Amino acid sequence: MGSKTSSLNAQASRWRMLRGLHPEPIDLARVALIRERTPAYLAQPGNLERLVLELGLNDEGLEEFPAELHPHCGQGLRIWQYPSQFAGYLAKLATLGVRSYMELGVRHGGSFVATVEVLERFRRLDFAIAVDIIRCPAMAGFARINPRVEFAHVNTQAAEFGALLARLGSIDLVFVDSHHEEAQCRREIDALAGVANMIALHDISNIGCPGIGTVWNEMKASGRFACFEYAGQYAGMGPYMGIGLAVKNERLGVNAAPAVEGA
Amino acid sequence: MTTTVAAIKEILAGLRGTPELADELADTADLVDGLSLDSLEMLQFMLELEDRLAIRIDFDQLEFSYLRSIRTLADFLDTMPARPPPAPAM
Repeated sequence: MGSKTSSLNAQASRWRMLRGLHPEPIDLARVALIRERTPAYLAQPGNLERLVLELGLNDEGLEEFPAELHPHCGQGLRIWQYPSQFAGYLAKLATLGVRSYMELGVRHGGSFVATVEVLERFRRLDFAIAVDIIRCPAMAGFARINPRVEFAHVNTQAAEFGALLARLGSIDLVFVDSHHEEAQCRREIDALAGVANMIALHDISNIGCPGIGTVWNEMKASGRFACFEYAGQYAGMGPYMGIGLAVKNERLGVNAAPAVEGA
Repeated sequence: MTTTVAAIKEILAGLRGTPELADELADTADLVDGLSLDSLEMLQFMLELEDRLAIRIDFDQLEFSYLRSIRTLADFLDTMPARPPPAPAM
């Protein structure tokens, strides 16, 4: 019972970080900032890091952002990422020719929008699906400007998620940023194992949800993936956030790829 | 008119998939230890409370101890403001 109380306390703490359960609208006009950039520009992590700031960051959990980023928070796409981490991750994805995309846990939708739009500057996606147990108001608007986008109001722990995966059959990349709890995260990874070529986890370094790092370490130790980490921290912060990208060895096409690459 | 206590019980019964639970629960039932809601079920519970009661829960004010009794939680929820209408997508 102690672990349940601890888990609920952690959840209550996370809720306090939020302005409320329900996501805010985002400024989809900023999608143009991505569409007007060339692939050559978007291939560079430094350029992407500056672009993420232009796109706008979330302002929930502001204490996890360094002061120099605060002027960029609470506007635009409300991306809940460290720009330095997200830029390195997106630049890596740009080299992989991602064919389809799913994101579990999208909150306001900013990371989903930015990821989809950056990926599509390199290769048109077959589909992109945002999945969340909480409805995301921005997704209807995004689907109007990107017809390959779909929102699935689905609990990943329910049978309907399995049905969604069965319908899709195969997904090239899934980004997991849902409930930040170890057991749920592990179940999601298990559910995705047979259908996803690449799985990315958010918050692999976050001291607020150590269970995600545990699952990430299990994935690294499994030997089934080439793993890439984007977990650099801002001075005096955290560790917070952190992105792990696990690419199935057969998807990478290079069985001798380094097991773990940091960034 | 459905009271907040009744709404809480009906939502819990729905989450558990046992309609009769709404009649069986005491007002003093403990949502954590008594009903063993896990963190994801608690999230679903909160979402349904907001929808059903048309309120916006202020989590800065929500004490974990409020979850120890349906009645205590209902008293807290009755102080919450009405949920604003959804903003149009931009």
